[in-house]
Amino acid sequence: MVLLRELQARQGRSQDFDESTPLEALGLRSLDFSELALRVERVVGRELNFDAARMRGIRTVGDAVEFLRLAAAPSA
Amino acid sequence: MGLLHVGAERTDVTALIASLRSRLPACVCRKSVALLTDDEVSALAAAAYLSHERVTGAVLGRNQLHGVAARLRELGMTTVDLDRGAVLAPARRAPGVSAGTVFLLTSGSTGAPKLVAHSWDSLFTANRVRLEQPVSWWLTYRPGTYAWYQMVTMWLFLSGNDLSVCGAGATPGALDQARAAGVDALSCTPSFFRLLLVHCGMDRCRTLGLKRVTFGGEPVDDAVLQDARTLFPQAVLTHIYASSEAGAAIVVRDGRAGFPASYLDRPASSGIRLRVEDGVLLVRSPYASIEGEEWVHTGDLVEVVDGRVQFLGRSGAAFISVGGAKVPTRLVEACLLRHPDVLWCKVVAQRAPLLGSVVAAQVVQRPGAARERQDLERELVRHCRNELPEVMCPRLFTVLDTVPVTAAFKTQLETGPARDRT
Repeated sequence: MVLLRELQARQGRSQDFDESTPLEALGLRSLDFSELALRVERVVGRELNFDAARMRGIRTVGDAVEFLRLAAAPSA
Repeated sequence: MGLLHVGAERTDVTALIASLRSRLPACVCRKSVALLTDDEVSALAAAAYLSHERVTGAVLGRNQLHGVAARLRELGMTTVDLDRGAVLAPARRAPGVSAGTVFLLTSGSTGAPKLVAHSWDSLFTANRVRLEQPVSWWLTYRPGTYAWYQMVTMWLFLSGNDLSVCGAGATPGALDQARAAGVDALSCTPSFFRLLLVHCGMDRCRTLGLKRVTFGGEPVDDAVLQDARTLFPQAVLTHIYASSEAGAAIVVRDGRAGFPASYLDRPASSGIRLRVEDGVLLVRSPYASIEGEEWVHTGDLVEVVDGRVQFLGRSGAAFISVGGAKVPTRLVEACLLRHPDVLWCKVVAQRAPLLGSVVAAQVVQRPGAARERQDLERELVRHCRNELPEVMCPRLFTVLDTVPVTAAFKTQLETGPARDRT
């Protein structure tokens, strides 16, 4: 959430959101999501493992945060 | 011939050659020779000696020998370490090139350094540059490079053109030495000029009161030309496109980046021909290497916009693929340089999840512009979004304290996508 808020600030967009806010309402696009994922990689120090099927189900900020949390988890 | 200023001392070429001869082992007298030295004055003496004796030779830094030593032996040159007065590798065979050949070492910024054959005639290009009056040049180029030889030949063959050796790099101490030596002309890479601004500030640079500013060695942008014009409004401003292989090819005097597209159609009688093939600049020049192809493939990508040929970068490194879209790095850099707080920038690919790469930028702030990193980042994002399509806007910024350059004062070229730049 902190990284997303920082990204929104850099891009001059609304930082008034919570987990239930739809991503569309934030104006978040694939470039933003790629940047966000890159910044998460830098924080956790490893590449993310993406689940493509799960990615298609992302609707809200909460979905995106959960998706990135799972992608950042060490693979079994 | 010109004089050489080293600090407060002045030396003429004849004395310099005599001093070099006294340091050369007798066994290499008039033989083909590669002269190694890390001392700028010795390097100039070595070039003056080669020119005067018309022997085949090369002038190299001592740490540049690695990688070309075998080739020098193949060419029949004896290698001499001038700083230690020692013969390192005697020649085993007669040179297979005509007497008086000069071998330049490429900077290696676009690959492994290599030796390029020239003659003193092919190196002497100053007859193309209008020098209304003799000037005193600050010698900023690395010994043995093509740009260095351009200065050396002017000094050797054009009356009254003095050279000043001012110590290492673009530092306040070197600038003070240049001023004390009466320097009134500067030929350097744009990166050298920007380093000078970072290290010395605008006001101190202005005290040089230059009559000529010439840029070469790497692509020239409008922002650095504007800085030169602001600091030295009376100066003749020129930028030169040249390379070790292609020789001097383009001299631009209108103070704008790139060159007029009309240069592409010049008649053969002009001596230098230029054409664009598959977006790459090709050059045919009487100043080219004496061993190369007639048309030299420069590897520089160009595009013609509104009657102007602009350089896009090296082929293979000029674009970043962002989710399949090709982003020309030079256009992003030009946009960043239009921001008043940006003195220097370099745009690179940053590997990123989902899209493969995103655009990242390294920037150096202007002296006096002291924004916090986050504030600068936000400001540059806003600036780029106003001028560029979203896909071209840098997503990551690295703010550097100074301009990162190679030993030849050029911006380091990227050889692949950047990883983990912070």
